Amino acid sequence: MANYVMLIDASRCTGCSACRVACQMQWQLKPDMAFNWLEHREYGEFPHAKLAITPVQCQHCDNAPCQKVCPTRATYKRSDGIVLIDHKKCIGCKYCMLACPYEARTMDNEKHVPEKCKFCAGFVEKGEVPACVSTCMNEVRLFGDLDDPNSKINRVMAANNVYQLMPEKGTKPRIYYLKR
Amino acid sequence: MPGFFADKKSIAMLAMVIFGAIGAAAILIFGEGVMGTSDKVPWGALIAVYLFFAASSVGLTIMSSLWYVFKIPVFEQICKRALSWAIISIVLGFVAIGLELGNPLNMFWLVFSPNLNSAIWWMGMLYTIYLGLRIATVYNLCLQKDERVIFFGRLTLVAGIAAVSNLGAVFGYLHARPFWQGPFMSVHFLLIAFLSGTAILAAAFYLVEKKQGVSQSVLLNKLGKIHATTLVIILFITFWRIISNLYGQVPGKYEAVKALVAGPLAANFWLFEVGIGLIAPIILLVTASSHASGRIFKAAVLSLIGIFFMHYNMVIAGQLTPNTAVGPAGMPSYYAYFPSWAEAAVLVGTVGGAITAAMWVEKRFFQAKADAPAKGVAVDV
Repeated sequence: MANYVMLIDASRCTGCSACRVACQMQWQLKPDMAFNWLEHREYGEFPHAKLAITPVQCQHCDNAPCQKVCPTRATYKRSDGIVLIDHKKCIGCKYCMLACPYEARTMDNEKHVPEKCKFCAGFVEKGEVPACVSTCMNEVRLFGDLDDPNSKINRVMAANNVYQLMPEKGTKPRIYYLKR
Repeated sequence: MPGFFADKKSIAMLAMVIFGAIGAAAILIFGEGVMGTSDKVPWGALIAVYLFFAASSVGLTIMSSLWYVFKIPVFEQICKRALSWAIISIVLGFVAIGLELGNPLNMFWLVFSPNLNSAIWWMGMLYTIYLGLRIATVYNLCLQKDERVIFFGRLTLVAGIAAVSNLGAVFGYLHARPFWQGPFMSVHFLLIAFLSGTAILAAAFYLVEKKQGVSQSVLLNKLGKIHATTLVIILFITFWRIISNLYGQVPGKYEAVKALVAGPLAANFWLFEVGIGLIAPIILLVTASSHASGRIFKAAVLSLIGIFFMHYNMVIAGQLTPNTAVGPAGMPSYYAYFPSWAEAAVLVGTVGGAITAAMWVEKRFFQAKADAPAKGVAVDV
């Protein structure tokens, strides 16, 4: 069984938002719905001020608070690490939206289900990579199987320092960020 | 048949219920589109309405236990009404939460795919058990089987305390929301439930006694004193909660308290929660040489307004602070939330529904008996 993770090199991001659009096309989302987004942060002072752009999305946590709080097990975690939602079980209580420290959920007002990134499950099983990964011109994102010693993501992670978002929340995210 | 209130008041209540039904219909048809909630503030005023009624129901149960469990004679006369109103209250709470849920018809999955780690699953189960026991109590009351009434009354007290403290845990479990996280929320909910119970009974028994021509009973005096004491305890806790969070500056808690005292919720907090909900009733109750019944009534009504805002402010303050996964710069100071007309309509409608249902119960079950001197009925002072 695969052990899917994502590695993001935020320093390469140009802020073009192609990842967002590709995801919206992949999942046929309305323009006001997105499963990934860019966080912009300014730092430093003039004349050395800089802009940091960080792609953020569902972190597919190993200790996922959204899964823990879901009263009907509509949110579940697969053995390959992907956190998904079973729409038919969702009562629409939105507790998962409150439990997620990354605020990664977005309400689908037609289905009344708090949606989120699916790591393109279904596509990755066929050997494809998520749309946000394949569309990026700068290879900001890498996606792969951490248990495969020959995978690119395994080699890059072994050779670099990485960090996770909000480690103090104890969520054990599956998305890593390259330290630069 | 003469109404418990004048007819104009009944018509006003009916208008409130119709307005609420229109708001509810709009939410059922258009969903989140007619609600003020968003991805950043997913829980809005309907959650506060639910909390208000769910906690009030348990508060009424706790008050009725003063006779059923603790055998304090003066409270015997409140029991039957408190039991009936507790059912009305929890049913209206279920109406509010049902409207808030996106897919309420999927709730059968609570039975077929339960997650015992979820506080919301426990909330559903405990409140269902609580309602079942409450109905069993009233059913046996109608059959005049006193021993069973006491048995179910005691069980309901346990179930009610479990349900309302778990309601606090629904918020207290969330590590992502520092303002809510921790065991304090369970205690907070239990205290507010008790305050709701005393306020509802004080306001309602003032009207009942007025109708019966009783000037001021020992019962109303005691309700006033209990109410005043609970208000002071909650004011004390509120004061130290604000001070400790401002002083400690724990990320998430600090910003939420700043939202309450000097941010987007400041008017709600200072005017409605502290001013109208706590200070004004305390002044009304403690400055009287003896507890004048009119003051007890006014204090109770003001408290009930304040209690709604206690729930509302708590729910919204916990969501207004952005979670800053990649640092705070560039984020808005606070997310925005304001209730929509449909959410306001449901609040108005449920309050109207509660008063209308209580009036019906009064007329149907108590009014005829109240005309005759009943066991334990108010004592003039």
